[in-house]
Amino acid sequence: MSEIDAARPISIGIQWVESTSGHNPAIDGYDGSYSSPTIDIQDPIFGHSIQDFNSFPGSYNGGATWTDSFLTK
Amino acid sequence: MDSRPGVPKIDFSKVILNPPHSVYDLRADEIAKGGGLETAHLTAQRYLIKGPSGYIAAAEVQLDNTGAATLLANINFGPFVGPSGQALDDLAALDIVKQGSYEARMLRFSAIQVLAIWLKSDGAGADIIYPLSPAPAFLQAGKTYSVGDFLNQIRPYAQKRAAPKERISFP
Repeated sequence: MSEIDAARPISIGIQWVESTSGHNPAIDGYDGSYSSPTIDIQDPIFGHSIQDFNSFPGSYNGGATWTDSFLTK
Repeated sequence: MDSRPGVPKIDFSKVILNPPHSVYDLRADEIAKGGGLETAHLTAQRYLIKGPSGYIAAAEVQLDNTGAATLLANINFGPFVGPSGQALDDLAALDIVKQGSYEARMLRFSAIQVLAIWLKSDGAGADIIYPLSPAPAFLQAGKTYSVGDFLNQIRPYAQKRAAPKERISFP
C-alpha cells in the first residue's frame, strides 16, 4: 500500500492456471473502504479492471497464481 | 466509482445492465492433450453494462463449483468490452442464428490471449465460435468458426503453453 500511496505502480507476475504462460499486469490503485477491498489493475491484454483483492488472482480472467512482484521507481 | 482515475464517469440513471452470459475458461493442458470445448470450465457470469454511447464495462460474478454466484470479482473497462457487446448484436442478426436456438457464452483462453463468443446450440444446429477483437494473429476477429476449425487453430498454441508433464529434477 505504501508503494501505491507513493504513486509507484507494482508490476506483478502471474501464471495462468494449468499452463506455463506468464503475464505481467500492474497494480496502480486500491480501495479499502468496502467490506472486501479492491485493487486497480492495468493489464496489457485485458485493460483496466477493478478487481476483488481477496480472490485475486484466482478469480482473475480464468484464474492464475501470483508468482512475482516488481517495485518501480 | 466515477472518482477513480481511469474509470469513465458513469451516470447510473442511464445505464443498462444486459442479461448475463456464462463465462467458460479453457486451460492449456487440457486443450494441448486433445480436449475440446467439453473441457471448458464454467467460472463466472458476465454482465455487460451499456451507457448512452455504447458498452462501457463488463462485471464478472464468480461462480463456485456448484454454479452458485459467490462474489463480484471484477469490473473491466478494457478493450474487449465494446467488441463483445457488438459481437452479440452482430451474431443475433445472422440468418443462421435467427433460424436456430443458441445460448450465448463467453469463451476465454487467457494463456493464449483469446476471447470469443461461443454460441452453444440448443437444438440440431452446430455451435459457432466468434473470436473477439483484439484477436491474436492465428484467429480472425469477427469471423465465424466451427468448433473443429477453432480448435485446430488454437491447439498448437495451447501445446506451447501447456505445463510440462514432468519436472526435471537435479541431484
